[in-house]
Amino acid sequence: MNIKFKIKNFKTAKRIFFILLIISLFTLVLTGCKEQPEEKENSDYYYSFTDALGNTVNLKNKPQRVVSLVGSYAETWILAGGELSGVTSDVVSERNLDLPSETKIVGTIKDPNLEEIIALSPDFVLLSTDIESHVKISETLKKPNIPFAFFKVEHFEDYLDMLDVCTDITGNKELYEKNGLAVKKQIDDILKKIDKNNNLQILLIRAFSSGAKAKDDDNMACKILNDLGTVNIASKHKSLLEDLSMEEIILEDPDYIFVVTMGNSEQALKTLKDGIEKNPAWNKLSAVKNDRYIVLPKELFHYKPNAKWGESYEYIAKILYPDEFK
Amino acid sequence: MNLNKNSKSYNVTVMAFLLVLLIIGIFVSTSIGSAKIPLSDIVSAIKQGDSTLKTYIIIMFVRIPRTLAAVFAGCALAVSGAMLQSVLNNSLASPNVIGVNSGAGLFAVLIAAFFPESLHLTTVAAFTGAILAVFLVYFIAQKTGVSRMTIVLSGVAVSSFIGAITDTVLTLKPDTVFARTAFLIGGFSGITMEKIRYSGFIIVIAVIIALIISYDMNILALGDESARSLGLNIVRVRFTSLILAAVLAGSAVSFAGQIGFIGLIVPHVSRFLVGHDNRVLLPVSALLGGIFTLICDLLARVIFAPFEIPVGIIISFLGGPFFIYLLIKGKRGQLYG
Amino acid sequence: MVKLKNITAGYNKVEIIKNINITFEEGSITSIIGKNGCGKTTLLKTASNLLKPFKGEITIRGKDISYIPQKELAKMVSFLPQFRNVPNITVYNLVMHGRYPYLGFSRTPHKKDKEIVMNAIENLGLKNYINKNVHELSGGQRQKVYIAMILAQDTDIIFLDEPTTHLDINHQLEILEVIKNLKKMGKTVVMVLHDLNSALSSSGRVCLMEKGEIVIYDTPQVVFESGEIDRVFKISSTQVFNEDEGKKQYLFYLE
Repeated sequence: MNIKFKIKNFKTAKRIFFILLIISLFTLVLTGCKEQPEEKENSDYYYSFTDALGNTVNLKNKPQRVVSLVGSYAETWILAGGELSGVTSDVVSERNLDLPSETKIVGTIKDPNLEEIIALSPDFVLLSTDIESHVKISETLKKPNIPFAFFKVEHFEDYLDMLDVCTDITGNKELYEKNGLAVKKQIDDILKKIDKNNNLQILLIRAFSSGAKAKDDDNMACKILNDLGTVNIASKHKSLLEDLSMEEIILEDPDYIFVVTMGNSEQALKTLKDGIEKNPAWNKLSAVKNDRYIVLPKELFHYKPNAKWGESYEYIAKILYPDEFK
Repeated sequence: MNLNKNSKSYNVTVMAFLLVLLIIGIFVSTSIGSAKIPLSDIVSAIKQGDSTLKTYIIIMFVRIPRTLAAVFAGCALAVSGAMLQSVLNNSLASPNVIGVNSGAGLFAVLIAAFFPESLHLTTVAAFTGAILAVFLVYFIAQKTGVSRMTIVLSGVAVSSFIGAITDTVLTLKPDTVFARTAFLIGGFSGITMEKIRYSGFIIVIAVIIALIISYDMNILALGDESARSLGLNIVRVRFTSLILAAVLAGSAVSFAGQIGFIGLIVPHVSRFLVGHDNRVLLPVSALLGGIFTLICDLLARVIFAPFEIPVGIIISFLGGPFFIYLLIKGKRGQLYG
Repeated sequence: MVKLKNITAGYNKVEIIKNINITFEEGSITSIIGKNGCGKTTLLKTASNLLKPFKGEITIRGKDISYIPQKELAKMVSFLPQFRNVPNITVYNLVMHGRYPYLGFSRTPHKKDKEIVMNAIENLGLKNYINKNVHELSGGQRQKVYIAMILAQDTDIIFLDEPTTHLDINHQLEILEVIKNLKKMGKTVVMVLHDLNSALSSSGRVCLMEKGEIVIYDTPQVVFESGEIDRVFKISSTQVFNEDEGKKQYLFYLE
């Protein structure tokens, strides 16, 4: 019994030792060398600013090879007088931008291709805070110290700020005047003319091929409508943001109903037709009866209009206040 | 060489062949990509070690992490599936069945919904979720006596329940939708070495332990009574196997998202090649899983470059028909006649 | 050498066997017979420590079975269940499984293990099938493989649950011969048999059970003459003496 006990003990001891060895090796590797890019402490930067994620972006030199992973940011960069080495496919599919042949397509906005981006040897990459793959890509860009910046553009003010930064970088401040401040003036002029206490009730529907939802304040088009003095019935009935309920729409009977499509426009409108429009009460709504059920163009109300933001305001102003805006 | 399928030399040959294939695969995966880089450039870039050279950046920071991630994930999921199919005596078992995917998914969504500032914790969260889900499954199964059937049933029930919770969170906080989609689809784009460092080591250690208990798993396959009368502690072996399977799958899912199918199909192919002896089946599954995933990822990023197809689609496209072929060809895929 | 004292056992808190007091002598062959559901398998499982009794004590050579570690017990007692999974492995590997209690941490068989396995395989006439997959064998041959595995486990005490049920007659007789050889090797065999004739003609002791209790436990002759078999099964029985073989056979018929 004694010998057996000793042998069993030895076996257990061996096993414990083995396990401890593995654990210590493990810990050793965990705490071991981490890949830290060398941070050069040099305060002589060409330009520094804080991006939309709160990161400090330091550009050593004026960027010559810029890659934009968002179509709208590509346009903003061009409006700032810059040139692009690489863009995402939405630049063509959504914006129909005319780009020189040297500019390469590096993938889709949702899934840009890291290799293509790096192969362009970029010195500045524009990313969106709202797209997960962009966040992932930034982690890899950190390693070889490729400068990048996150932007978040939802409303005109955001575009203006971004244009400000971009024109600082490109040095073309006159373009900030032309494509930024001038547009701001255009918008301000429009807003001055309207009576903010009109309190027109509106509803904005975003339609896509598998359904439709109401939108409220965060949405770009809604802010424009808001600024133009309307009241969005969806702010009073938050459930409309999830599901368009006929009851609530009838209850409020908005003066105007606007539609913005996402994805395949034809399909989206068809889905609307087959959906809520089939409801017999639909045709009794004042907006529908008085021809105030309006489909808004994507380029001005879904994609960021950038320098055309003023046109977006004007478009709606003409609809809401036909007398003031001929 | 004795070509008898069950002989030792056959097994060793198969393993050696697969190992060589894997090494070649890693090499090819590092040399091919969306950006066309000639081989000589790759070699010189690595030699120079110049981190500003775009070739170096692409190889070291994009292709190599991605290749390693695919290999680790493939190995882990394949071994996890093989262990589950053996321990649960069910050749349709896969890591999904014991709640790994749903648990990982829930925790990833919770981070995205309630702690969006801490998105870097997603990997750890997903792993934790996977393990917790498996514990829940085992705990419930224990109440009814841990048999193979109850574990599967419990797993299905728990997965549905967790899935419902996840959907509820997403309904209440619709802004997190994009985070969920990325995780749901799974893939290796944007992988960095940090993300796979910890998981990779966990996977290596778990596979080693799995190989150690592989013989005991063979005994378990004789049936509970026979195994017990041979002196095997069946509860301990079953529990350890489940934990290892969960750890392996959880680690893989934590950085790769929810890629399914590998854990289901690779063990079947492996059994077709080398039979049911876990001492051979597990290493072969590991190698085959790594190779298969590597090839799928390579195809995913190269076929329509610069556009990338989600790797899960390639896996299903290649795996599905092959799986059907195996099923039709013979009953070899089943564990028991 | 295996002694059950005041054993009561069952499943899910339901008692199947009660007040069992029985000793299986060293080197004997015992058959347990009885109607379906009377607790034969339960008794077997309890005796081999696969089922924990509600009450009572089991000892092997005086040692309480519940204090013997599982691996040690596996070297002393083996059990062949009636229903088991048929794994997809070769005959050799399946028989090698019988050596599991003796394998070290590395689980590699040593020379001695391999010798014992080869002996077991030859003993049961399976040499030609050594590399065949168990799935490819007939029911009778498969049973022989399992018994070879039990043999390789090299235990002094062997429990068999219905080892001949569902087999062709030739295989049944072969198996019974093998079991008789086990006794010659000095092993203690306890088996549940369905066939009353086999039970009475090949065992040294017969244990008749009814409704979870032992009715009679004695030599075949004594059990036969007691008439208890007739009572329990509601049949009549006679004994015939086969002069050529020098053996007794038992015939049963309805009343």
